[in-house]
This record gives sequence, C-alpha cells and structure tokens, in this order.
Amino acid sequence: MNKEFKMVFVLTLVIVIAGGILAYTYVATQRDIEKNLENAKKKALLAVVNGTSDYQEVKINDHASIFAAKDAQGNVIGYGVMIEGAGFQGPIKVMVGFNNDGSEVLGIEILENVETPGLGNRIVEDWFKKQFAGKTPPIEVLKGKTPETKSQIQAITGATISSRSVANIVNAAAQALRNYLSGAGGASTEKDLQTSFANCFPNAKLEKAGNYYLIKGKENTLIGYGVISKALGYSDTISILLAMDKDLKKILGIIPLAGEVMSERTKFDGFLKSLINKAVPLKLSDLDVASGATVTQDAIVSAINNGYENLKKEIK
Amino acid sequence: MAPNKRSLGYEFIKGLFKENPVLVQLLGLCSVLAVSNAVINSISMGLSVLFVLFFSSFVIALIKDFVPNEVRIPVYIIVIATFVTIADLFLRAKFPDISKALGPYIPLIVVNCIIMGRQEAFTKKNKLLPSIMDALGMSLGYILTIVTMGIIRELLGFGSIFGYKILGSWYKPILVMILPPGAFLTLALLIGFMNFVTKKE
Repeated sequence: MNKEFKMVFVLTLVIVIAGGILAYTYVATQRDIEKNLENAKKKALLAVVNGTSDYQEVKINDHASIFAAKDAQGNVIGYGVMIEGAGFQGPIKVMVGFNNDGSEVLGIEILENVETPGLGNRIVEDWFKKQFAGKTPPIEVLKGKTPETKSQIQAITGATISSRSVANIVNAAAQALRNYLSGAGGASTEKDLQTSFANCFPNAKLEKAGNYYLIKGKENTLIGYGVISKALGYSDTISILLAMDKDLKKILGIIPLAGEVMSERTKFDGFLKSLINKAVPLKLSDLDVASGATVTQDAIVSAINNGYENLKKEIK
Repeated sequence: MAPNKRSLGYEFIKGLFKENPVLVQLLGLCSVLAVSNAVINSISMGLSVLFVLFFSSFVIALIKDFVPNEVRIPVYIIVIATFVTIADLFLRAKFPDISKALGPYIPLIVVNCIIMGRQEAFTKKNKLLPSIMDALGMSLGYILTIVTMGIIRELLGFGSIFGYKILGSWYKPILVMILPPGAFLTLALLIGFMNFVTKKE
C-alpha cells in the first residue's frame, strides 16, 4: 500500500512540476514565436507587393489567407495570397502578390517547401520566381521552350513537377483572390431563397428581374427591391438577401442565406433585426455593434452597402 | 564492471571515441541521418541534444533515489520531454530559421535512444558528477559525429561549409550527398573507419 502510494505520489509530483515549468516556458516564448510568424508573413508580403507599409489579413481557410497590402496613405496597392498546395514531395507554401484587381502576378515568394534539394528545391531560386512577375494567370508551364505569351513560364530542368506545382498554386491563389474580390462562394439555390423569403415576409413575393429581385405585395403592387449580396466574413463568405423599400431609402429586412450568418443565425438575429428601417448606406459608427463578432458584423454591413450600390445601379 | 571506480575524466572521454553513441553504440541514428545535410543544422541538432541530455541526466541523477523503480521509465520520459519542449520552444522563439530547418527532429529528441539509453545504462547506477560527465561526453561524441557528417555532406553536396562556397566553380556538386542515400553512405564510411582504427589498436 505504502509503495503504491509512493509510486502515485512521485509520478504526480514530477508531472505537476514539469507542467509548471512548461507552462512558464510557453508563456515566456509565445510572444516571440508569434512575432516570428508575423514577421515571416510581413517579409514575404513586402517582397511580393512593392511599397507595402501596412496590411490587413483575411483568413480564407486553414491553408489560405489573403492580405490587402496598403501603402503609407492606407490605399490598397495590391493583394498578397498566402496559400499552400501540393508539391512533388510535400506541401509548398507560397506568398503570391497580385495587383489591385488580381489580374496580374506581381511576384512570388516560397515560404515553405520540402522539395528535393538541388532539383525541386530550385523553385526558391530568383530566376524561377522572377518568371512569375508580370504574368497573367492561369499560368502554363513550358518544358524546354521559351515562353511566348504573358501566361507562360519555363520549367526548371529536371524538376517539371515542382515547377508545375508552383504554377498550380499560383493559379489557385489567383482563383482564391478572384473569389474574394467578387464575393463568390456560399451560393444558395433559388428554392432556398424563396423559402427563406417567405418565412420573413409572409405577405409578399419575390420575383427575379435580372440581377435583382422585385418584392411585390398583394395585387402585385411593388413594395421594394431585393438583391443578393456577399462579403467575406470571419470564417467564410457570407451571403444575404437585402430587401429595400421602393425608393431605396431604408432596409425592409435582411435574410441570411449562407456563411456564418446562416450557420450561427441565432447569434446575429438581433443585429439583423436592429438594421430594419435603417437608412443606407450604413455607417458602422451609428450601429449598435455587439462585441465578440465584429468581423462578421463588419461583413454584414459591407454586404448591405455593396448590395445597395449594386441595386442603385441596376434600377437606374 | 565497477563504474564508480573509474575517473571522471574517463567517463567524459569514453563517449567521444571508445563508446561513441553513434559510431560504436549505433544509437540515435535517425536524427544523424536526417539533419546532417548542412553543418549549421548538424550543430543546432547537436547542441539541442547536448542541452537535453545534460539537463535530463542532471535532474534524473538528483531525483532517482526518490523515484520508485516501477515508475522510473515514465518519470524519465517526462523529464526528457520537458527539456525537449523547452529546447523546441526556445529555438522557435529565437532562431526560427534553424527551427524550420530541423523541422520535426527537435521534438523527436524525446525518442532519441541515446538520451533514454544513458539514463537506463548509466545515470540510474551512478552519482551526480559521473552522470554529468557521461552526459557531456556522450553529447560531444554525438556532436562530433553529426558535425563531421554535416561537413562531409555539405562540402560534397553543395561545395560549401556553413553556406559559404569553399570549392570553386570548377566543382560540380555531388547531389546525392545531401539526399538520404548520401547520409547512409557517409555514416557507413564513418563507422567503417571507426572499426578500422579501433581494430588496429
């Protein structure tokens, strides 16, 4: 009995002490570790988008982030997309710089790779990376031929797969940025839309009219307009139906369609209701923003304002 | 075999050649093969092993009398894992590039047989001072081997040492030396050389 107690006691004591020491070391080093990660990102972004002095990071998913690169005056001068994709031997992580509308690659930087040293690993060499600057994605890899168009690069001799992997990753980055800029993703079907609409406005109906919707009441009188609008939220793209009165002065309602506004609907219900009858464009400072979900609420507000702008253009 | 009667100097020196952990005992080969493709990686790995082995032996020598025999292995592992984690966090905080190059091999020091092996084979049966000398000797033996491998592989595979070009442009790097086969070849030649020398004595 005594011996068993001693076993348990000693083992517990050792674990508690070790745990304490580790907790202390973790806290003491964590700030530096995070700073290093942040610095690595910043350095890569500076290398691919010239003149960046500040940036804003938007996480797309676990393997991709988009950085809006800003100059000293705060203007967006380009985008960096940090994205991971498959290489020959393992994942390759690349920072790809794009111009303002995502149509041209400014430069690339290889952050992580485990390609074969001396062969695939040559993707980190300057001459290879520089080939991407000024190119228009999707980029095609040529083997042993000199590139002729603005969408071609030359493969590294003996490392065609690694070269192609980098090009694929750059193309994926271009796609991710395009999705981000156009707010695509989180699509919902027409039927879902009608159902959600009917739940919110039982006495009205929604009629598609090109890129927007007409909201009609009894006897087909026009009550207002609707438009689907998207924006990048905290974890994914959110999509809403913005319903406005027929003078486009105030909000009739906001129907969540996809993204976190939909999946965590109860959390944002109060916020969405508080926006009814508000005048657009909304200003964030005038709103009652709940703490803890500001990114999503920012996204909702920008989706509403964008939707309003689009609607205004369509109806005129 | 009465290890207590040997001098402290012997406990230290034996790890360098006579009982070299890598070339004679053939322990901890995984990390030696994996990270010895550049001198700087070899040195960082070697120093990490030195740190972990030294402090593990130190702590285990101090507490071994209180630890019941039945739970000694879990206690050793906890002590070793603690120091390995400290080394890993320290490298990640202060030397991020080296940490990235060594990748998973730092956390894997936990299962490096040299460290566990020394605790079972030596520290368990000896006092504090001989244990520390043994740990230092074994670590230096490990460092000596992994750095030698790093020098040979980096020189032949890249034509450089510490990343500085040593061999001129006339030299065409032997790529295989920095790939896994190069690690096995170099290690085999070093072990062969070691056997050749000890046989002569």
